[in-house]
Parts: sequence; structure tokens; C-alpha cells
Amino acid sequence: MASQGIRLGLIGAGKNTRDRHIPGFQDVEGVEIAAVANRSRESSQVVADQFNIPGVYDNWQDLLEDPSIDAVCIGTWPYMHRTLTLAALEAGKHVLCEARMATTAQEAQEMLDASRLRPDLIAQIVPSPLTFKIDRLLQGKIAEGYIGDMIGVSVQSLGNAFIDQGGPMHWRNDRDLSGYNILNMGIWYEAMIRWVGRATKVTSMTKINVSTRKDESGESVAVSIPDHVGIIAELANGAMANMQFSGVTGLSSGSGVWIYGSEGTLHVDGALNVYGGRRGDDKLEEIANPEEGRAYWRVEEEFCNAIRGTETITRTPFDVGLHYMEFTEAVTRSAQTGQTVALPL
Amino acid sequence: MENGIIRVGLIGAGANTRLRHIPGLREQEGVEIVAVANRSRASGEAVAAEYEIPTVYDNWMELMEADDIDAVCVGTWPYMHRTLVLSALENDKHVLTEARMAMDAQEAHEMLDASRQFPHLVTQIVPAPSTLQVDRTIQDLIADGYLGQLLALKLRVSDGHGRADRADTFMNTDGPLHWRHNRLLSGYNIMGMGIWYETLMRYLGPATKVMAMTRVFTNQRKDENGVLQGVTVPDHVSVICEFAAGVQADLSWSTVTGLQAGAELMIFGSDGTIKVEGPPFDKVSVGKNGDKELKDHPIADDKRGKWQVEEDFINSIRGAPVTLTPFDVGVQYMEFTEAVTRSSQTGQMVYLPL
Repeated sequence: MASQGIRLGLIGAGKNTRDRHIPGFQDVEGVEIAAVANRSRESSQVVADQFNIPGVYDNWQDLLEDPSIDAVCIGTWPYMHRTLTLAALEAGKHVLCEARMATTAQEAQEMLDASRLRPDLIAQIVPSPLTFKIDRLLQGKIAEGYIGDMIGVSVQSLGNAFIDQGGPMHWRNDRDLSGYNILNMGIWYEAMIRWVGRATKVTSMTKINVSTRKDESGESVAVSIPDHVGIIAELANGAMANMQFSGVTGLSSGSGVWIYGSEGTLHVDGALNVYGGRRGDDKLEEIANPEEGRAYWRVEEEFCNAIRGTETITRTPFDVGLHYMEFTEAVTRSAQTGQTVALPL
Repeated sequence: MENGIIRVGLIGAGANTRLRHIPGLREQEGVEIVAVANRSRASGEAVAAEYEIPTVYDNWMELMEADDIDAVCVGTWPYMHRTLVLSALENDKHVLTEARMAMDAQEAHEMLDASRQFPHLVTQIVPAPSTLQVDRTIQDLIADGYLGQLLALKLRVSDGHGRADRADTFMNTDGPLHWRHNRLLSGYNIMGMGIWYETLMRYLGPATKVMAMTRVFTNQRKDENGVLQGVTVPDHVSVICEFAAGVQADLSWSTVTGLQAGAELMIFGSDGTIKVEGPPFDKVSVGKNGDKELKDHPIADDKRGKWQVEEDFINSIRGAPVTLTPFDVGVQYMEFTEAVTRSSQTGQMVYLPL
């Protein structure tokens, strides 16, 4: 690494990379986005022109062989995360990998193992940003004993649109590209464990209501990723969680979180307003959530600080990623076998 | 039956019998409540005095042997339902039994089998009452295709039964050991689970696969002698199940979720959505693809059902069919109830019918 700056390469420059990571890195002092390798040279050139990136590579192998690059930001779909992370670490480059971490728990394990062989390199996954606004508030309330002993957690993220038969095949519908990841389940689970800790047992049932979709050429292809998921989990702290995710629940009540304890209840509505009430109260009341206490999107800054040795990765290290990938795989395994799956796998 | 008069005996005269069944039976023409047998002669006499019931028996066996009783109303806790129903049928008496039907699926099957040996006798279970005002409307909406293809369902039941409108629904570790907490008296029944599953069956028919996890958070309670007893009936239950109609359902019951009371049911289809909440469960909200939000669906007066189990029972004795609730439906909900316990015990999916 050049002593002054960080030279960053982009592998995969999809929407989140263009909307979030490129502007985020451009805001960090001493960081230069030096090169990009997208799916084709043409698409790389478009991104390079748009964001004034000097280097364009034909493919990711060439980018990783560039000794002037210190760190890479992997923005591909999950199916390439393991391959690219391992190659980047072997090439001596720090890695920020887009979420979800991988397609399976096995891949996530290999990524964690590889990162431990290179303790001199930073390995980080883009965190679930859904609940940044409320994470610290919920953590603080639970830590101060507001709810007493935790009993139950309920997380629902139900789409508001009616079922769309015959829609296009998105990469999120394609198991070859997404692996065991389903809807926004992993992103919610990662958020949930910040407040309530990890699951130890998982029971689930899933359903594929839209079983065929049209690929880019207009051909009908079979879908094997569920569009409706119900999960019951036991948490390490003794509480029971239930979670529902769906893409077929028209006019649903959307997303919401309820955390029940022996002495109090916390509720988060779809707009991330937080409500609470304790034994003796008549109803839930809104809890103030001052702006200055909130977490916010700063993954690019955190990554660069970690490379410079001034910060330790908290959002999100690979071991947490492995855990949520194990949960994700457990959901599929339970749905496939009709058996409760214990964690860790 | 003499002169068309139906003479009813009460076995077990708890709160629901006194509040509902006695007044309900008294409203029927040509019905007399002629006898009662409660847990003790003294408690039987207290009920008899309060409700002017002429005969008190020492125990249920004596009541069963009385020739001048045509029908019995079984109001005991579930642990006695099978024994009493079988005895009533053998003694040539029509029988209305309080819900839940039985302790477990095996008992329910024995009751159904026995009822089929006495086809001239009416056998009926007290139906799930919460949603009687809206049941027909929901059935019609589904039958008329309002929802299109049925896809998903979510039911959240708080305060155990979904019938409270109070806020103090936090875990209560000082509460007494109620018969509902006692597996020896309640069997596999858990909170209002069977009631709500019976309700869902009216809309969707039976489930075919069940996975469940349960917890007992209040795991000790004091019995009537002040002695702490371990509690094995869960106070927090989550169920995921698939219905024969193709719906995946996410269901939960709890008595330990503070500041949440009542129940909310949503049924999602390919074209429309139905929502019912309460208490009092007297309105149905609906929405179609293209709507911005759910809106109230008008319910015709003649579609609003009401509590009429005593009238139905008497009408059935006089020849009408039993609609709410026949024993075969009871068997289905007892199988579901047992499946929930089996799945939570084993961590395995349980297929229905058992």
C-alpha cells in the first residue's frame, strides 16, 4: 500500500456499487478508485467514464494481478463472492464484499478461513443497513433492562404487492446466482441479531408461488427460490423468534418488529419509529430516537479506517457473515427436510 | 322424550355452562333442564338452587342412569369429555360437549367412532365462537373468488385466546395453576389454539403439514394447596403449517406478550386480501389488486352468525343436521392440536391426518 493513500479496485459495478460505494469511497480522504472490472469491458468502460476511474480491466483476474491496487470492493452477485474474496486475499488485497456474504454456509466458512490466513488484510462484508437508524436505540433499551428477560421476537417483512406471475427472472430468483439467500431474510436476520443475539435452532417452511419466470431471452425458466418464508427460531438467550418474509402478500401490513420481555415490549413500525411500554402502562408510546445517537451508512469509511489500522470492523466482520449464512442455509435445510436444524451447523 | 319435551341433564356446571348453556337452553321451547351433577354434591346443589334445577345427583354415573333424561350437556374440563361422551351414548342420551373436544387425537377418534355406533343420537361440540359474526362473509368471499388463488395466511393471537381488550398481558408468574395450565386436565390443548384452528378450517379446510415450536415461560405455578407445580402446557407457541387448499400459514399464540391483546388474521390471495381483527371480530376488511388500502366490506344482517349452540343442539335432536361443530371436525382440530405438540417435541414436521 502506498503510505499515503489507498488504491481501490472495483470488481462488479452494479447499482449498489454505483449508488453507494463509489460516492462513499470518493468521500474518504486519500482513497483513489483506480480500476474497475465489470462483466464486460464495455460495461466497465461506461462506469469508468461516468466516475472518472482511470483503469479498466478486461476481467477480474487482470485487476487482481495489478500490484498497484491495495484493496478491492466486490459488487457482484453472491455466486462470485467466495471465488473473488479468496483470489483477492491470495493476491494480497484487502476485501470489502457486497452482501449477502455467499451462496452457502460452506462458502462463507471458506471465506472466513481464508481471511484468517491473512490477518494482515482487512476482510469485511457490506452490512445490513435496514435498521441503522434504530439499532443503537434497541440495543440500549434492551441492555438497560427495559424489557426484562427476553421472551419473544417477531419480525415480519411482507411485500405490499400482489403476486406477479410470469415476471422477469431477477438474479434474486436464481439459485445459481443467489444460493440459499431468500428475499430479504438474511438482511433482516443480520439486523435482528444486533439486538437479540443469535439463533440456536431453526424451523421453517417455504413456498414457491411464482414457479416460472422469463429470462433475458424471454424463455420461461423454473424458479427454485421461495417467495414466501415462515421461520420459527430459538435464540441463545432463551427467547423464541418468528419471522415471515413474502413477495405475495398484497396490501399486507408491511414490515415490523416486536420484542417481548417479561417487563416490557418494544415495537418498530414500518417507518422505523420505535414504540415501547412497560408493565403497568396502558399502551405503547413512541420512544424518542435522537439523530445524534443513530448509526448510519459508513461502510466505505470503516473499511478504509480498518486498512489504516484506526478502526476494527464491526459492520460486518466475516464471522458474523458466516453465522447469518448458516442461519440462511438452516432455513432451506429445515424447509427441505421438515426437521428443526440446530445452529451452528 | 315425552310429549316432545327434551329433558337435559348437566354434567359439570362451570362458568360457560352457567353463563351460556343454561340461559341458552332455557330460551328453547320444549326444553327442561332437569338435573345436574357437578364435582361435588354441594357444588351441584348450589347450581341447582341458583338456576332452579329440580334434581341433583351425587355423581355423573347416577345422572347417566336416569331414564327421564334425553340429553346431556358436558361442561367439564377436557380430561372427562371422552369418558362422559361414551357413557352418555351408551345410556342412549344425546350429547353436547364443551370444547375443546378431548385431551388428544386418540380420544377424539374414540368419541367419533362411538357416535357412529349411535346414529340416532346427536353428538355435538360447542363451536369456536369468536368469529361467528364474520364467518359466513369470509366463506362467501373466498367461494366467490374474491381472493383468487389462496396463497398465505398470518394469524397472531395474543392473551392466549385473542379475546381481551386489556393491556396487562405481561407474563404473570404469580398466577394460580389454572386447569388450562394442567396437562392432566387439558391434554394437548394449548391456550386458544384449537378454537382458532377450528375457525381457520371454516375458511380453508384442514391443514396437511405442521411444524411448531413452543415454550413454557411461566414454568411453575401454585396449585390450590399453595404447592408449586411444574407447568408443561406452553404459554408461547409458533406454528407454520400448510393447508390442503395450498395456503402456507404462520400462526402464533401467547399469553406472555405484554401490551398486545386481541387477535389479527390476514388471508392473502393472488387477487385479494382479507383482514379480520378484534375483539369484537365484527368487521371484515378487504382489498383487491389495484386498491391502495384495505376497506370495510359490508356484511348483510342475515349473514351475521351468533351464539346459538343450544338452539342448534335442540334442533338437531329434532332432526336438523349438526353444523357447528360435529365430531368429525373436532377430530380434525384435535389432530392439529396433537401435531403441534408432537412437532415441537420432536423437531419434525408432522403430516395430517395423523
